[in-house]
Amino acid sequence: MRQLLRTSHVSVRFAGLCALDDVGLELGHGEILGLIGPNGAGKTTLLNVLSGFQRPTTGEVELDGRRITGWDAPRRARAGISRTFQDVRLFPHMTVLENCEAAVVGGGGTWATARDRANRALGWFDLDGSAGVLARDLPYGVERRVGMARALCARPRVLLLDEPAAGLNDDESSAMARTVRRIHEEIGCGIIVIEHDVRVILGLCDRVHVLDHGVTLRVGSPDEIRTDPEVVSAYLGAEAME
Amino acid sequence: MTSPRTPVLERGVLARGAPALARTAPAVICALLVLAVSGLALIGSETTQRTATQMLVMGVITVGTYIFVGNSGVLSFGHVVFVAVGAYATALTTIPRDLKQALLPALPGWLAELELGLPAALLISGLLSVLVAGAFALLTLRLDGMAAGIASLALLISVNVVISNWDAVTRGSQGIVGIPADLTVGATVPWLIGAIAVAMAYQLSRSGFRLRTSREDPVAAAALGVRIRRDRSIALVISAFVCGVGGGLYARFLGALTPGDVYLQLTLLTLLMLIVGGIRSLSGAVVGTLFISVLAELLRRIEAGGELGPIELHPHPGVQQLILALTLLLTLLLRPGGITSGRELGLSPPGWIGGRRRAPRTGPAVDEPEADEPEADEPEADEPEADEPEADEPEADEPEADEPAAHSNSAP
Repeated sequence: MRQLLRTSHVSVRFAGLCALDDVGLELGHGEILGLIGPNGAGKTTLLNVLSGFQRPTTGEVELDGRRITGWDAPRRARAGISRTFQDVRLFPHMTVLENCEAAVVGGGGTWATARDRANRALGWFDLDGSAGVLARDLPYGVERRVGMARALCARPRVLLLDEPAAGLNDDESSAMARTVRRIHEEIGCGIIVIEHDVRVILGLCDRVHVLDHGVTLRVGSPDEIRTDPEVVSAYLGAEAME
Repeated sequence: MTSPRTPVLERGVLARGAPALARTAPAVICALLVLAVSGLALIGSETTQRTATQMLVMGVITVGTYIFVGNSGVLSFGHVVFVAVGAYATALTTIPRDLKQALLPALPGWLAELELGLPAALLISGLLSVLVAGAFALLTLRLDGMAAGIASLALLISVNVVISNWDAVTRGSQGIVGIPADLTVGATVPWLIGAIAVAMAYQLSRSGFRLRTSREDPVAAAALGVRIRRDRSIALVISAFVCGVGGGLYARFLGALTPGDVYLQLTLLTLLMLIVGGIRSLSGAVVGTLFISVLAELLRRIEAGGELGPIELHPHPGVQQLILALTLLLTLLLRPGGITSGRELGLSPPGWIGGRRRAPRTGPAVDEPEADEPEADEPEADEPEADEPEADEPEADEPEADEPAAHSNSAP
């Protein structure tokens, strides 16, 4: 599989704390990669490194073989790396439609393209009826769907999802997992997804990358990960033993 | 995302309704409001007309400030710098030649000889302010929030020090006198309407939209590709141009210009108007200007004492400042978004009066369609636009120069 996005020897240190240590992550074209690990393992930091919000202390980031380590977030977004946030971060005083249009216009696209893609994305996420609602008036679950719709409007080559199912109930979580799967089928972008719900991750991903204390613990297929004793003891714990 | 099961949804598009009209409606309504108030003032006494002229000039300055502050969400105490540059530029280029040579013998020859009409002088004022904005941008656009506000205040103070001491050009704290104080209501209205048009055009542009996303959430905006500093610079340049024009008008309104005229008091008045009106919308800038101007004038009359209709009033010195300060305080406490609370005056009144509050739905996925959506808060343009709608600056308007209203300045 050709590598779409990769990091090599990435380390991030904050004032003595080592958030990431020599992490090499690879995402293939059209692959869904799960990123799991206990709290504080450095998952979000790694996502920030990939999306340009965190400059690595050492190491490189490459997109399609091109070094992008020094690129800031807007430049990476324009190059096709799109992300969502754990706390969604919609534009509160803008409508759902405007939030989606922002993904196109923000990257330099035209109004016509923006309107077209936003309307498609809203239809896709069953958000048609909410197009004119201000983002701050949305219920939580809907908010998360808008967040993903917005990320999609940018037509990403790489989609980075930071806990898309956080705070959702079981039904909503599996709906979210189906949506991610569908996005993947529709636009064929590479996806990296951070998720706490192990069942969601194991059912969704082609490969899983396990982080623990800033270090790569294992990389492998969901089956390998599920049965790996070290992963089980470090992270999955009692839940997976059942 | 090209799934056949996702028909392009028309509702969102239709909600924007007859696009051209709906999108520019706020500007049209603001302009009509300005015309209505100005028309009323024309019936009034000479003092009333003078107050109205001042209101219109303040309108140009607040709308100019709004273009940057409103769209970017970055508070600026420095926009009066652009007003000051514009005011002095217009003063120095429109004072009659003989008077100027007597007042300012040290001026360079070409400037001493220069005597321009108002439109040309205002154009130069705007352009000079744009140059200053360039320096301003280099110095402060990296900063956000509090730091940006304080840095802009530092710039204001620096520029004031320069103006106060550059005797050869500004006559320092003595000030410049003899500026033709011939500004009338009729001659000022077109400039304010022009400013509103420029502000609306920027607001509808893609750059304006991007800047508002960064106002809402800079991190999310950056993640979508918004280069915040670039769009801030564009807004600052346009904003500075309009403020520079406003400054030129202000000089022509005052007739005499000292460094104190374009300093803290004017800064506070501008911010008072913006905050009370609603700093996040163009309508807020216009409504705030009208509201505070009318209030200040009423208070000034109360302060001065005399008869107000059937009521006999004793003089109450200080009432005006006190009530204006209280107005600001009460706005911040009770309605922090200002009168308009970020909304634009639109075609459907309930849309901005009642707010767009909707009970959050907790049901499953699909929300009910809302066909009655009042027009979008900040309507968008259909076609891609040039990033710099600077081209359509206020159309030049010949000054109607036969009304030398040289009253004492009734600045609030």
